[in-house]
Amino acid sequence: MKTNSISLSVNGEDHTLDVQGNETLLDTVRHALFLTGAKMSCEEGRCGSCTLLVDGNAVASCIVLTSDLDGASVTTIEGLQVGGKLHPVQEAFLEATGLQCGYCTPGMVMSCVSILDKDPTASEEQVRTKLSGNICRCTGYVKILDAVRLVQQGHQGHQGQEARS
Amino acid sequence: MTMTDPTEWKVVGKSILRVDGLDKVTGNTVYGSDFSLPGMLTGKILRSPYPHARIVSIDTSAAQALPGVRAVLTGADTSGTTFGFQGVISKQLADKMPLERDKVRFIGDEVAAVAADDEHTALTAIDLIEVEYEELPAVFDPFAAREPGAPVIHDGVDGNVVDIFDYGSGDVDGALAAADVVVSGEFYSSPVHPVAMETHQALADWDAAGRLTMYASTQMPFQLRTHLSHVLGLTEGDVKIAKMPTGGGFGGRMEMHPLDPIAALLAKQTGRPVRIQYSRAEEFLATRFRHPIHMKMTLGAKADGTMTAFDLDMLLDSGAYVAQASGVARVGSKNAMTLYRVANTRVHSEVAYTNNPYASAYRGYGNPQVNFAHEVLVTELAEKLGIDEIELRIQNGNKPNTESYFGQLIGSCEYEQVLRKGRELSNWDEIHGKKQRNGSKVRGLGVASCINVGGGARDQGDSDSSGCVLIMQDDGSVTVNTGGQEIGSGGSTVFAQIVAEELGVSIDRIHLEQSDTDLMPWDIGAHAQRNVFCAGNAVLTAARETKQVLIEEICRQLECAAEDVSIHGSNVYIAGMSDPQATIPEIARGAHFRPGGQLIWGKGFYDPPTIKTDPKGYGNQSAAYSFGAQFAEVEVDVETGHVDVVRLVGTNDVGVAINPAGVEGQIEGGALQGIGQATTELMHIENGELLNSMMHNYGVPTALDAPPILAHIVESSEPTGPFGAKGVGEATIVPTCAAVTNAVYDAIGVRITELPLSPERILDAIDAQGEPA
Repeated sequence: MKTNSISLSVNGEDHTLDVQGNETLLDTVRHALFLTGAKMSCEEGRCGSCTLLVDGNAVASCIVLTSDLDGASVTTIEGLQVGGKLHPVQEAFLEATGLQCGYCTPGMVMSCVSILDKDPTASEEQVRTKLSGNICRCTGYVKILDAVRLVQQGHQGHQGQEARS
Repeated sequence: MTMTDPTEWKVVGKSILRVDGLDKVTGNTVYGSDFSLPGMLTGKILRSPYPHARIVSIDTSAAQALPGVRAVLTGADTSGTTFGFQGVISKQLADKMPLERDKVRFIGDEVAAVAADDEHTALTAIDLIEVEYEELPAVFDPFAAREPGAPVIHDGVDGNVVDIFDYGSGDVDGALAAADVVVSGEFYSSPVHPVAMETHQALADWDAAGRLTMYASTQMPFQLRTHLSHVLGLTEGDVKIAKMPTGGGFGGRMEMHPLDPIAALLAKQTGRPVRIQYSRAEEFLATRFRHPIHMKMTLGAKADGTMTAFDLDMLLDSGAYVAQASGVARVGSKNAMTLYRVANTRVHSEVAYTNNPYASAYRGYGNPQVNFAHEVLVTELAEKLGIDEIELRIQNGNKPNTESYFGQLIGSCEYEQVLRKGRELSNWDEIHGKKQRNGSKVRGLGVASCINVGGGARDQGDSDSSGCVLIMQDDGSVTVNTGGQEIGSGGSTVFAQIVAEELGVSIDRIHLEQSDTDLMPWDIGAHAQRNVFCAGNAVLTAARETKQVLIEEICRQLECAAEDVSIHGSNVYIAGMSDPQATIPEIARGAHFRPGGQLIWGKGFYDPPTIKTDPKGYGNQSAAYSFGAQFAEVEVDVETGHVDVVRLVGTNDVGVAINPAGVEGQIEGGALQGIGQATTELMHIENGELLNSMMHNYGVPTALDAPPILAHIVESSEPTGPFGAKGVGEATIVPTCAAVTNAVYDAIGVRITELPLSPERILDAIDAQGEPA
């Protein structure tokens, strides 16, 4: 199959990649760059487990072709931490117990980052609408929405392991 | 288990952060689907396009000849040994082969498999396999399957009834004749899929000596080892199951699926590691889901509200193979029989084969289906009696420290409180019966309740055991090696809390190890909400033994008496001296490095004091019972038929909540899965063909569909549980369908008896009743 050479910045690192025409962005990050945080689940852009940021926009990477992304800048869950510090959305998911099996979590976190970047004061209804492309089968979304609320309240994160009951 | 004083607990009862949380929010967790081995090949399975057909011939030559194909397998390459999760109970229940040899029994049945260098080649090779089939008459309706002359799906099972039982006690006919009020109905609970976010995968690798390692995403590694070794003609010692973090269990990962032995056989043939990863469509089609059940139920009561008769006739559509259908039928029946104290009970259950895809375990395991019929009928019964339905439930419900008519020893039981708290939190008295109307939308509030095993479940074979080994390391940190499994529900965090509380070691110095079946102590597995209870008890026992060894070691090193030793944080104190005399790390290191040293460790193996349910349904199969109720508030649009669950209150008696946030998460998640089953989820199976095998057309609720869910924990203290805890994971999905159905009845006065509550069904029911109320 024909390959194209493209440049892609992933988590701030520039890559020149030879990609096949049918290679998805999810394939590229998982198999070429060994970034396995983003997950394959529905294969049709419906569940959001593969959500990545492309030029700041949340996309379902399982239905985006890498060859179309020459020059793009991609952020994966592995690139969210700055200086070893968790992103506030990651902190909030931990604090609110916004996860169980964790398989949807990387995609869910990336979507929440995007939602809050674009509209830090989004209402719960707006957040629910924008998160409806990310399916979680464990949590009933209750504590995921709690996590978003924690970020909106400027929560600075959990220090250590003290109880919070 | 003797209990310490709850007011002194530092870690138990607190919503500490999940011990697996940091890896999960950073994408560091390596799930089975993320893990690969050098030289790994891709395996794919060819499935039957026919619901029932004889395999006449299979020509694999074109597939074999394709460059990049490393192996092609058919049933002829297998041992022909059949397997089935409940094959230990009866040989007839072992009815599946990894690759079928003679005949296929559903659209999706496994026929052949390939291993190739990459996925594209494997898929191409699958298409090149030519199978000649001779189509056979098929049957898709379980009632028709029982009729004389129906196609025989499994040789030797004439009439296609693979399992049949009668539970009961007392005189049901007499009680019904003497009852003041009798209600009766026919119900159908539809097939729904767990839809775990990670699809099933298997990665098999053999070493040079012929020992198999499976990197598996399973709830029951030791059961997988047993079944896999059996079907491969090996013994357990020849197989190692490496337990991988799991993207959702929900019962769907209890049993061995055909892909496990197929991956093993492909790896054996190629001498290379082989991974099979199911596509989402295969996940829907070829993994297990909730049984559709047809139920005919009759209840009788005296005018004072005393329930006197319970009569259930049910038929499960097992699909093409039996899997866990016999267990599902029994568990569902037993729960319904014992939700209320009813002196006269009769259950007749049959499990029929059809040529549909085959069902098995899914969170609740039969209980959600039967509870749907039961709790909808109880609401009708209350109405006919003219008794408040919550009070009727409390009047007939279980009480603490009683024995049920079927021998269950009900210890802790806050059934009354889960209903009373739910009544208050759901604003029952303000909303129920008011039929508040807003345009075409009418509001209703419905309730349903449940019982569920909460202290293990002696239903699978004879074991309900869990093992644990704790080892204190040089620096005083503790490795908890438990057979109890983390499948997402938070078991590992609870285990760490139990160890932290008992040993006084801080949570961040405790490391959970769920490695593989060579190292993990034996455990039956994570099912039946038994993980916290059974594995937790094993962890607690191991922690106590470790503490005893630690104190002996302190006495040896510090030359003191055990009764003078106390430990605060990581400091060791001796009576009469105000300064710490040593630290735990010093003692731990000293234990290893002194001449004649010793390991500071402990073991626990817990098997609850229970017995299997006997052929009439009698027996205390669990060491504790868990109770719950849900109050669903709905808006029914009488013009469109749309049912919107706008709020749900879930109340559960969980014993002591070791991690309250974790318990809330179980209540919230279970409730939304239940709402999905009640309203939008359905496997559309027509003439044996699954028509909606993708995420976009199946109907899993999204954040937009999900209502606010209020999870309320009603604590009790269960004397047999670790720190008083009971199980909770299953009970949270059991009453949802009935609660939503009762809410729809409250809103519009139509009682739906088939799931899901789709707009078509609502509109049809409204039409059938004439003008809505």
